[in-house]
Amino acid sequence: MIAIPARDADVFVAPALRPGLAAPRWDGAVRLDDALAPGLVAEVAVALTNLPFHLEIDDARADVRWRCTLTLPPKLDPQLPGPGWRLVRLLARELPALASAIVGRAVTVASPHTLPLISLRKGSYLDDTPAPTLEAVIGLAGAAWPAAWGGHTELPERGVAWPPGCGTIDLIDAGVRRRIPLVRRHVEAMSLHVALVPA
Amino acid sequence: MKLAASAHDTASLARAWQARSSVRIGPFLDDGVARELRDALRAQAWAAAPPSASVRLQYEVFTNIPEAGCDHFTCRFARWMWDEVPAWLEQVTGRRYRPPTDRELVAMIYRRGSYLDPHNDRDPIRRLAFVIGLTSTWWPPEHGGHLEFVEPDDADGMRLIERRDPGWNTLDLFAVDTHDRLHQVPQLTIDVERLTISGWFI
Repeated sequence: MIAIPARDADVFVAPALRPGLAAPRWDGAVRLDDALAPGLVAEVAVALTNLPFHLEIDDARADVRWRCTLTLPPKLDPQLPGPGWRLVRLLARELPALASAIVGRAVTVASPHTLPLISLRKGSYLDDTPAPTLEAVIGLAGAAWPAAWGGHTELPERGVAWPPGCGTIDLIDAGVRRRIPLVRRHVEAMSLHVALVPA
Repeated sequence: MKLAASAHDTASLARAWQARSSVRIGPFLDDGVARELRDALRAQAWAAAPPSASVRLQYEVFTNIPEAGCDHFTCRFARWMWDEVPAWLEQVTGRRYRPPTDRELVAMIYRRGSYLDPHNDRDPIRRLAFVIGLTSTWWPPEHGGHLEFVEPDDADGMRLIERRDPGWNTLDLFAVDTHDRLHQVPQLTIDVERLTISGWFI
């Protein structure tokens, strides 16, 4: 069972994932659709417009994606966009509880005030590599596109492919191989990538 | 710096240029110079090109503003390119060009995922576009990375006019002030490298 210790006002995962409901089967990777509270993605999308993403190419040229990391101060500052704080609370409280319930071990987010955002654009890709840690990918994408255009997350050992998610939470365990084929068209998908570590 | 022997036949090159105000010259440099230039460039620190307001692109760049007296090969080449090549270009094109005021010489590496969307280079200053090809491998155009001249087409959106492969020791010249030359480099989809130096004379 999923148990999320939070008051309603602080709950930013979808009602369907709140306490009392059965956790999805866990075999090392799962996508939760409609996982965020209604409206959260729409708010976040506006708040994240025009962020200074930069193209990051790793040394092995196996990971070519646009990145922007936001760090919010420890105390809530009303001068900063509200959706960012909602994401911080999601990472600090609800995501660890949700993920712990699903994966069957206590996990937490080490730096919930740090929001590592990744954008897939034309030219982006991720070669077949194992996930370094248990990772939560919170999908903040807009409209969907066909797999032939690239950018879908493939788990080759499982025969699974997920399109860029909107309001989704993907949990991928350490060691699970995943890849993202080259994005070939001018489309964009943004997501928040969070490492979950033992609590 | 030395031109390739065939590049000294400016009368033949001028005839080719006059037909279309666009030409591929190859070989452009003495082969030893081309190899030394390629090696010097490959040893540099490359960075992702910043987004452009006028054309969508993705590749890596190394930008060099030649310093007077610097003995590094890239500086010596850039000084030669800006200071001596215009006289040779005048023999080929019949027009006198000047280097850009910032004297930046920009090298590009296209790797998997890289692309340059269609654009025509038109602005009030640019007159002659050049692309020096320093790519020693070849691959079929369906994998991208070739220079393509295109024009709008009502039926298909875009029609291919001419395609030039990445090229080893080549110089592509095309007038951008007198002709509306839409060109692009389609996205490279395999693990190869397209190394070029490109820019404009004014």
